[in-house]
Amino acid sequence: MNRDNDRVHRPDEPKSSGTSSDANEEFANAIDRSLRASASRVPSASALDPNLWERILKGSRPPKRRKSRQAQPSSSTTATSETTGRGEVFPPPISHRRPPEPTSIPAAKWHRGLTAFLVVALTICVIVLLPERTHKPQYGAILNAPIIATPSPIDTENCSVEPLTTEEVYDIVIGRGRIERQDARTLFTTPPPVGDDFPHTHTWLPEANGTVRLVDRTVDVSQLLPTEFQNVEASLNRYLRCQEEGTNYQLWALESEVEVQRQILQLLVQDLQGNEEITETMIVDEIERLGPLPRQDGQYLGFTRLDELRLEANPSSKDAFIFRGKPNVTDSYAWIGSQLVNDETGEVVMHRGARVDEPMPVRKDGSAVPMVGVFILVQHEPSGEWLVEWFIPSV
Amino acid sequence: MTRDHASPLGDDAIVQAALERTAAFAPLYERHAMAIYRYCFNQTWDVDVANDLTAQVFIRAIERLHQYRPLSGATFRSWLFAIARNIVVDEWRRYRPTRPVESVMSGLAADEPGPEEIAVHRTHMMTVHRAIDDLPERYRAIVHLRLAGLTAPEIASTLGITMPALKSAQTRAYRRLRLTLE
Repeated sequence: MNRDNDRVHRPDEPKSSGTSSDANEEFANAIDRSLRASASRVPSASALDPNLWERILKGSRPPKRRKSRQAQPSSSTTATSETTGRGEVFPPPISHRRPPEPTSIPAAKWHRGLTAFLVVALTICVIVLLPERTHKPQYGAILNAPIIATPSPIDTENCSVEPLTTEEVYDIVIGRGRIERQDARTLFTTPPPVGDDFPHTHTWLPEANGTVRLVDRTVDVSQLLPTEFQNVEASLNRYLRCQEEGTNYQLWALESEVEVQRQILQLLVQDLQGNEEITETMIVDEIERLGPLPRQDGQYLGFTRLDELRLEANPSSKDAFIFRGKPNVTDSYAWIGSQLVNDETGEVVMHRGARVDEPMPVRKDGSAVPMVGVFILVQHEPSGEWLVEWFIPSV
Repeated sequence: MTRDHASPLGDDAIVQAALERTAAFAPLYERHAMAIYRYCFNQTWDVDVANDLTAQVFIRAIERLHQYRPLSGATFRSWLFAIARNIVVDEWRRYRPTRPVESVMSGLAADEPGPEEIAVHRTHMMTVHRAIDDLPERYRAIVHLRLAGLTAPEIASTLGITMPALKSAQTRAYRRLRLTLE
C-alpha cells in the first residue's frame, strides 16, 4: 500500500489511465489524505483527555503473568491452579472457574455490579447443573443441544438482529439448554466437520424417493407448507444479509447451538497441550475475541460476496424439504437451496434446490461456485424460529 | 514500529516490562493513545465518548497484556487496534445516536482560505463521512484502520483475515465508496 504518493486524486477527478486496480488504490490514498487533513482542522479530533492515563491506571487491574511463568492465582478464579509433575502450571478445570469480569470505566460501575451478579449466578448454576466432573474436556457431550437464546429484531440499518451477549454465547457453548432439558433431539449424531472438507455430509441431502440417509438411519422428508417455507426462506435470507453486515455475535443468534459450539470449541481444542483442559476463561476469551468480528470469508459458514452478486435462499418452495420432528423427541429440520442474484439487475445467475441429485451449479465460464449450496436449518423449540445448522457446499 | 523520544525501547520490550509493572506501560500509552483516540473519534464524533472508549481500550490492553504475542505480520499496534475495534463495535454501536457530523464539520477552523472554499470543503467532507458510514461494517473497518495509519499486514492482523481477503475487501470497499461519491 503506497501511502507516500504525493499526488492528490480527488474523487471527482477523471480516472487515471492505469488499471482499475491502480485507480482504486489512488482513490483510496486520496480519501485517506483528505480525511486526515480534515482531522487536523477539527480541534476535537485531537482532544485526548490529558488525565486519561490516570483514569486508566485507576481502572485497570495488573496484567496477568504469562502461562510459562510461575502462575499466581488470578482474581477471576475461584480455585487455585494445578501444578503438574513437569512443573507446568495449568489453569483449574472448566467447572472450577468463572469468566473474568468485563472491564469497565467508572461511569459504568452499575454495569460491573450487574455483571458480577450474573457471573456469580452463572457459576452457581454451572456447579449445580453440570453432571459429574471428569478430567476430559466436556465438549464432546454437549454438541447436540438446540440454541436457547431467541434473537429479537432491533432497529439497525442492515443486519436487524440483536447480537447475543458474551454470557448468552457462553451458555450455548457449555450446552446449558441440553443440560436443563436432559435430552438431545438432533438428527445428526456425527460430530460437526472441521475445516473445509465435508465428504460425509453429501449423503445428508434429500433423495428423489423423499428420504435422507443419515449416518445411523434414514428419515422421510416432504415438501414444506407455504407458511413453513415462508419462515425458512425468511430466516435464511436474514442470516445471509447478516453475513455481509453483521458480527459473529449477531450471526450466532441465527445459528444453532451445534454450530456455535463448533465454531468456538474447535479452535480451543486445537490449541490444547498435554492434559490441559478447556477452562471457562478460555471460552470467554475466545467468545470475546471472535464475537465483535465479522464472519471471516472462506471459513465454514462464511460467505464471500462476489462483487455485485448476493447469495440468497432459493425461493422455489418445491425444491425445499422438511423433516417434521416430534415435540420433545426430535427437532424439525428443513433443507433449502440457494441462488446467486445480481444486485443491480435482479438476474438469477445460478441456483440450486436441496436435492442431492441436482447438477452442480456453474457459472457461464464453467467454474463452480461452491457457496451456492444447501442449507439445513433446525427449528428451535419453543420459539419456532429456524436456525442455521449446516451448510453443504456444491462441490 | 513507531518509537517516540520518551523511550528508546520498541513496543515489545516495553510490553515485557509492563507485564511486571503496570506503570511501565506508560510509554506505550504515550505512543499510541492519540491514534486510538482519533480512531474512536472518527467513528463516534463525540469527544467524551472517544475518550471513554480510549480508556477502555488501554484498560483492556493492560489487563490482557499476557495474551499479546508478537506473531508474524502482527505488531503491538495491530493488537491494540484489534482491541479498539472490538470495543468500538461491541460497546459503541449499541448506543450510537445520530452522528452529529454536521456539527463537527461546522467547527472546522475558518482560518484558511475564503468562506466559499471552506464551505465547499466542509460539504465534501460531510459527503465522504456519510459515504463511509453507509459502508458495510467490514468495509468501514478497513477504511477506518487505513485512516489510523495501519499497514496492510497490520489491518489484516487486526481484522483476523488473510492478506488476499483484505486486498479483495479493500478493493470492494473503495470501489463502493467511489461509486457513492461519483
